[in-house]
Amino acid sequence: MNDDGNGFLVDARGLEKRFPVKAGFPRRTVAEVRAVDGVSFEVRRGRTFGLVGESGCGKTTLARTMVGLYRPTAGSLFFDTPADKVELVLELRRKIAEAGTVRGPAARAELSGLEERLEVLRREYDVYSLPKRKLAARRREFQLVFQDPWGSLDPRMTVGHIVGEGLAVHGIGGSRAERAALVRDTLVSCGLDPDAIDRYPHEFSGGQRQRIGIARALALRPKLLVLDEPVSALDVSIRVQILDLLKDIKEAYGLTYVFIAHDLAVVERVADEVGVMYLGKIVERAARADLFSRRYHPYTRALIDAAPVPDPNVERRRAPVRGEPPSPIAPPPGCRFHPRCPEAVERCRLEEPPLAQAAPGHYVACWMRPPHRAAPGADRPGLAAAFGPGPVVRPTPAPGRSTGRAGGA
Amino acid sequence: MSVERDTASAPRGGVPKPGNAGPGAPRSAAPAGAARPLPARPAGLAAALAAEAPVLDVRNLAAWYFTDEGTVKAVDGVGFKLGKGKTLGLVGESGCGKTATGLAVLGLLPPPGRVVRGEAVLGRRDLLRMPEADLAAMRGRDIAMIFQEPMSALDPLMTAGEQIAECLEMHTALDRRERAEKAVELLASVGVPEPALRAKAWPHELSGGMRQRVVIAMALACDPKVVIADEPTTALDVTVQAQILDLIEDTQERTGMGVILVTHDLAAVAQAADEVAVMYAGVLVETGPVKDVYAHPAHPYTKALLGSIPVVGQAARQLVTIPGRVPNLARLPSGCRFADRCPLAESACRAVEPDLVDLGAGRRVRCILATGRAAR
Repeated sequence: MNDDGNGFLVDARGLEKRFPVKAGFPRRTVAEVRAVDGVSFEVRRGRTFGLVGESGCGKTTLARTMVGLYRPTAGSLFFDTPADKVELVLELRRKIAEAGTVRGPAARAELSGLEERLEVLRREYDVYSLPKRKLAARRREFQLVFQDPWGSLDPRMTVGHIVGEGLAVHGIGGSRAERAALVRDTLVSCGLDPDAIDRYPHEFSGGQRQRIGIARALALRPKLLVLDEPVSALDVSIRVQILDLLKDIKEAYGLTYVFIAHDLAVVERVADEVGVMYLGKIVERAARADLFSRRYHPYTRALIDAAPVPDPNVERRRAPVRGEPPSPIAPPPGCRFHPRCPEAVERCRLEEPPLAQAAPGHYVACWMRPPHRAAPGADRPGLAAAFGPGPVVRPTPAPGRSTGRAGGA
Repeated sequence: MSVERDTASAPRGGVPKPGNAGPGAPRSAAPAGAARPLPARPAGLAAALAAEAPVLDVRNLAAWYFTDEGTVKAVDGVGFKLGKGKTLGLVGESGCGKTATGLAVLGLLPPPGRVVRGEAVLGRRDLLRMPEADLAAMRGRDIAMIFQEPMSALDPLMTAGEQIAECLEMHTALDRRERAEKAVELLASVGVPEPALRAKAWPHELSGGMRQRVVIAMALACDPKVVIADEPTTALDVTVQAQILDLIEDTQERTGMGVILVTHDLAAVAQAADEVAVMYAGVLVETGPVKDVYAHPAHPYTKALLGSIPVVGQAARQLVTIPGRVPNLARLPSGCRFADRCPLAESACRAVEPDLVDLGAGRRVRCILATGRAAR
């Protein structure tokens, strides 16, 4: 069941994480930050799922929720579940959805029966519903690598202590000596000197610290690494070294990655499938090549257009979108991107678009895209694949400066 | 173009930088005393140079940190010229001395850092040899800085409008009301929506992009001739980065200010700068017009850096891996500072530190392999 290479290691359904905003005296909850607001995705074994978005889109909260550092407000995360059980879960969900549309006592009874069966499966396989002891055993299988190689290592602990702590907690490697051997082994796998074991984090450069952070996660021999901006705090010359390392250990240890980054160019290099997040939601999800060539969602398009190109002969496109992401405390009604979207129409302001299949395996949440509308440039196939801007872009007048050349090309 | 070749400090043919033998700098210099040919300057060129006099001329700047663990030569002989209305991209990785260069020019180097030699000439006056009071009067009025982290660059106890008004109070004769009005005007000019309202906002109430706009409005308040922008877009999201680069470019077109864009982001330099100066371990290793340098990088470090950046749409291209890391600036290796990481390094590279040699066409490079054996 682990070797089909095709099954899902991660199956996240409707993940939600809200944080209360407290104010006043006595302090009470006056609002909620919907950091992650109904996110679903699957990650196949041995693959890399890339998650991109700007700051505040909820990608770090999602990472922390996935590895259990935050308790989700809602949702389920099936991890390393046998394929037939995943099938069963999907079937139950489908039936529940169907039963929910039928009225009457018989349907209600059927519904509660189905929900009970689903609940049993969740207690067995859903990370968020697992009984405590089972969860503790599972935890080693999914590990997080943090963005900041300075803030994420305890300065008072030796490297050996940092990397070996998880082993001790999970009771891996019987004796102290065995654990030390395991730590040394892991350090070498991460391109560090095994003698680093007795040194302190401050003795290392940023790149080496990130290697230590990766070693800490790898020491437990997890199945999944959630990498939260693993290279963005590093210098360009070091980034490539760390990307190389991640590629090497993925092969060597048969890992699966969730790779979170704001840098599309990095994600394009590492990911097999990509999800684009905006204000707590996934707005587009597809296989990497499809996402980058079709770039259906206007936000995806803006991100790709804004990605800086280190070539002075490429005329910089004027800022493709105006403004900044609104607050996740009070997300705009309708489509969350509509206040910044150059293509927004009335419907976008009123109704929130669902994440719908626009092409096989390609999901988009936009009223102006398939399946609701024809794809931009569908009548001009050459253009759609190239840097074509799609439909004529007419930005609605907005406060601030006008962007005369917003449409580009 | 904007940065004319630094004929004063590096005439063609690899003459050691003046000041190599300066106080406290006993460095094994290149074969000194080699005949120093005076650059033959066509008469027309002199006139052209005078017409295009740089707004800022930094010559042989060295700024060292005197720490307990030794002297950290953060900036060790840096020279460049900034033309009117032009942008110079000063690029390098963390710890290469690019931020220290900017701070030294402004006289803001924190202790134990000290400028040990060099000049920074702005409007015929050397900023580095100026009484602090005079420099304080010029800072903000003639030369201003945009700091990297807009949250820490702003006073959390002053509203956005007050902070801008404070710059105006120091450098203009405007009264309180005029200053407040001008502050709102400036906020509008940097693209802050509802400027009158935002002028009354506290820094924590503003988003990252808005804060950066406020910091830029402060820097531009007195129409400075030169702005040093230290990583102005690094802390911002890509969609906002593009907006800030647009803003700097538009302001430049309007006021003709010169901009030094201090950054590690080679893409931002490609898009916003006319000239580029690549720093490595405290020295410039390559300078020249951006288009030429990016098309044909002469220094192996420049070449490797450009090859190490992932670009959207080029996922198939193999990225260049630069092994190792930047040397400790308190214990520099002998010879070329990049030699230990350089795929082309030869024994000659480790013998003597190469000079920044003029290649013509406004380009300079510090690499004996790039300048060719012909020059030696």
